[in-house]
Amino acid sequence: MKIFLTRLNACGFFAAAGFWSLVALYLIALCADLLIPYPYDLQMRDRAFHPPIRIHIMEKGQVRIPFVYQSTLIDPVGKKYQEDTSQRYPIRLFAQGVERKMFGFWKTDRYLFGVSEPAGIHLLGTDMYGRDIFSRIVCGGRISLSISLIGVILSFSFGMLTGGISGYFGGVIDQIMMRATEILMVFPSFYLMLSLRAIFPLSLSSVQIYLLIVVILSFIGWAGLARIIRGMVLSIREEEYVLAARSVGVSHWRILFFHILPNTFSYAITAVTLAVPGYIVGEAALSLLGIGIQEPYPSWGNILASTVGNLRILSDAPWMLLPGLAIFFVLVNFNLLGDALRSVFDPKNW
Amino acid sequence: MKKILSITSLSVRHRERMILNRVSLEICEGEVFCLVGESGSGKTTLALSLLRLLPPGLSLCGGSIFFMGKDLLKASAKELFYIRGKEISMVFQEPSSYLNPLFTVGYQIIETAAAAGASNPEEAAIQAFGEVDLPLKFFKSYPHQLSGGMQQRVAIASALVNRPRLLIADEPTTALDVITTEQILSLLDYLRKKFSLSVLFITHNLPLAFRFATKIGILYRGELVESFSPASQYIHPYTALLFGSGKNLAGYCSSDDSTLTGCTFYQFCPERERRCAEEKPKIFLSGTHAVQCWKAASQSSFSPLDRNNENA
Amino acid sequence: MKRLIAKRLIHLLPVLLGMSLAAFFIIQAAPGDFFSQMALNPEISPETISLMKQEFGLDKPVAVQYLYWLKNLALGNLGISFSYHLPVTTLIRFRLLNTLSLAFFSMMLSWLIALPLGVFAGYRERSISDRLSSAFAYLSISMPSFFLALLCVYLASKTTFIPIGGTRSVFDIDAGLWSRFVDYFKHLLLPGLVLAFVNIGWLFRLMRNNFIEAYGSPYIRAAWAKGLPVPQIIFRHAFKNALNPMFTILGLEIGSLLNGAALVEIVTNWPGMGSLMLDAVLSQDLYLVMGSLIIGGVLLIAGNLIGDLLLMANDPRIRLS
Repeated sequence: MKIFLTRLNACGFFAAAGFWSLVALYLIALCADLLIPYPYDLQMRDRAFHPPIRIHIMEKGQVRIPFVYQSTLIDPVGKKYQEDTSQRYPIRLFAQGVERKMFGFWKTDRYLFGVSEPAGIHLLGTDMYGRDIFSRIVCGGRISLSISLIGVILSFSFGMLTGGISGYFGGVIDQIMMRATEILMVFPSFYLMLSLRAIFPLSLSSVQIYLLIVVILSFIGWAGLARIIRGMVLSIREEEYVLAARSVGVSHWRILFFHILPNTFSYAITAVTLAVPGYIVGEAALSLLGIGIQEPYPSWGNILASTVGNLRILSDAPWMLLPGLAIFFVLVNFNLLGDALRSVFDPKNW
Repeated sequence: MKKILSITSLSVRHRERMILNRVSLEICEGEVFCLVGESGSGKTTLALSLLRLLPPGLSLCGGSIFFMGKDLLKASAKELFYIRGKEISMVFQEPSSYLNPLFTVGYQIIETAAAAGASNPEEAAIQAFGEVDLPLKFFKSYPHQLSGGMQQRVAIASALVNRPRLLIADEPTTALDVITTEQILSLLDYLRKKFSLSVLFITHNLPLAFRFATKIGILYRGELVESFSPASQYIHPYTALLFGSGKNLAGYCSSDDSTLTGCTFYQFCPERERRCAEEKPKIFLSGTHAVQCWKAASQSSFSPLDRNNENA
Repeated sequence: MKRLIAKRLIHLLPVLLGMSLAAFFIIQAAPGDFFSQMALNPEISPETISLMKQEFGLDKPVAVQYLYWLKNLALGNLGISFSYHLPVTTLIRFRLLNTLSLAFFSMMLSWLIALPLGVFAGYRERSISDRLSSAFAYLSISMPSFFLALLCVYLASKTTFIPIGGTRSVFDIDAGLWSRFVDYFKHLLLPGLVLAFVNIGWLFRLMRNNFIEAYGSPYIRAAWAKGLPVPQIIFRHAFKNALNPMFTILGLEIGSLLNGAALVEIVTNWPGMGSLMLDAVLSQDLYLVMGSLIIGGVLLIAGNLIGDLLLMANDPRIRLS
């Protein structure tokens, strides 16, 4: 672990920044319930399409604790709001709110921060049902980040297994695997993803959908990796230490798992880091099109979904595009980290 | 005899290490100067310095190079353009790497001729092809379709198509087998006589140098420790080691102590004395035989060269 | 060279066969029986149903159905769309042109920007302009296409001159060919620019790395020693070699372009294969889904083949071995 961190620091500022940003993001995703001011499915219909709230620090030239004003709806059709400057609503820590179950079991009515009713602290605005977008993005991050991670791990485990077996034992197994992956890789992945989704009914329970998306994403990503691992195994197989191990009587499986596959790890880790963005985008795309994570569960994709094809919503409530920025940020960090890993493992740099 | 090339006290540095340390040599018209040295001695660096093609990281830090009266180290880019490939040409060690795989060999000769402003580059190239004894049917072939020896002939044709005065050959036969080496060497010899070419022939093989050279220079760790004609008897112990010892000399150039006060060869010299460790040997001259060793001090025909006279 | 092409084509046959099998398998895997589903739908006439039964052998055992399917594929009959009541091939034909023009336009744009920029950055390695362009490339590869598309649609909605969605504006029916072409092109701009932007990043990096590698090769040093003029060294020798691996990329790019185009199409309302595919999935119109999938696969194979052919044309080592 220490070696990894020192190597990471050697890669320069951006690599380390990428790594730690991702660690922070995953931590935020884990503790999502602790950080949000509202439950993600709380509809506040009197505050639909509210722009991001303005936080004030000064009133009449005097510095106060950060506060907000209550917003009143002045145009119900155009959804325009105006601040009512008559009363301040300071931001409180551990404020009281609607009762909810944190992490599914802990009943509480406290939130990390909040304001008293009837003001609202909507850092990133609200959607068409008046749900707080900030809370939805933070909770959505949980889903997007976890689906991609699980999907990638599944793909890669399966890919390494099949690629390893195929490369090591060769023969008929190898031929079958090569043909199968070739056929899979012939289809454009987006089209394939949609087709696989089409096989299953459009409305499934949330857990089923979650698992289905994970499985579909892994299935699509598996083929490419399996082929590359197979190629690597083919060349490692001919190395002398493998022959030596065989001559001493080590079984095929031990050789494969303890000698050959570990040598593919350096490539695998880099490939994993660079593949996660694709999985995040895949899930977001499915949710964006309405065939991924369904309401009311938030996903970065499905928050964006309401703006697709609906020019009115898009032009009136552009803050609903913010999950896209979140995706962009995550992708930048994964790419930074992936590039750094690639140069760490590149033999030319040793 | 007319002096073609005159290198005086050339020094090249790579960070703190001196790759070349005050190297001086002269080549006259029609001469073959064989520069002999092990890998790491700086031979290729010397060759590249002549054409100002040093890789980044290496920098010239002293000395001068005069070619036909022109100071190469002060030449502008435009002047260098008129020298490279036209007045001074170079042939490299691995012809397969140094030929562009995507162009025909004939084209690569034509473009050299065209760069010199030849009125009919195709004709010149075809003629060059014949001069190196290559059948014309290979003119439109690609490098990967030819053998190593043929590729090297192409390189030589390209180098000579503009009738340069000086040809630098950096280990041209090292990558080839013995028979092809013989063929290339006799080709070079023939062409040299035909075009009164001067050749700077770089090699690590001293017996080869003996057969081919009019003058031999021994490069050790960036210093020219001896230069003599094959007829004379060499003096320097390192030269003796190189010639016919059959010993593996691979480690001799690699140790890094460049701050030694004495002779750089002290570590491995079988004939060393106390004096060699304390004082760096002066260069001793006897006619055209120069040697940097204290052994020459005891020989009457040799007199020390005053290095302060040189423009260092 | 002809032998090489023939060899590649022969190798394609099992792949095409496998593709048809995979697609067929996916249809079969869908739950529910087509028959009953179709029969219940009042919009589908009994004649259509019996026609489908005949052509696809829907009442025969699975293995026989596959043979029917294969025969239909070979004849170009991809079935009938349940939601549009039209042959799948007709629907695809309309949309395919739009997707191809989008893909082609954005590919041209991205290559025209990325390649020269890559050469420029590679030549001036580690300079400020290199670092700036590399940073820009980062932006491009991390940007999700749908986000950028939505952003652009939002920005375009605030202006009046950039059309959003569709391929033509509603105006004079008798408008001449040129003005219709210009109008089509104006509609193509938004999705085209978005798609080009997200592809420039990786293309740039690839070209830059290829150029640096080619420029550091021994034959470039030999070219300097030969006294060739500098532009010739850079453009004829280094660039041609750097371009070499890009030809295979060209072929592979068709696949990724189809993917990228699909999402952008849907978000920007450009009527192409992607939005067709989505409609098909949403209405569970399985023959349409299969048809689009197969066409997608065929396009990808064609792209790879073209890439290989271009590579052969450029690299004599592959051409004559």
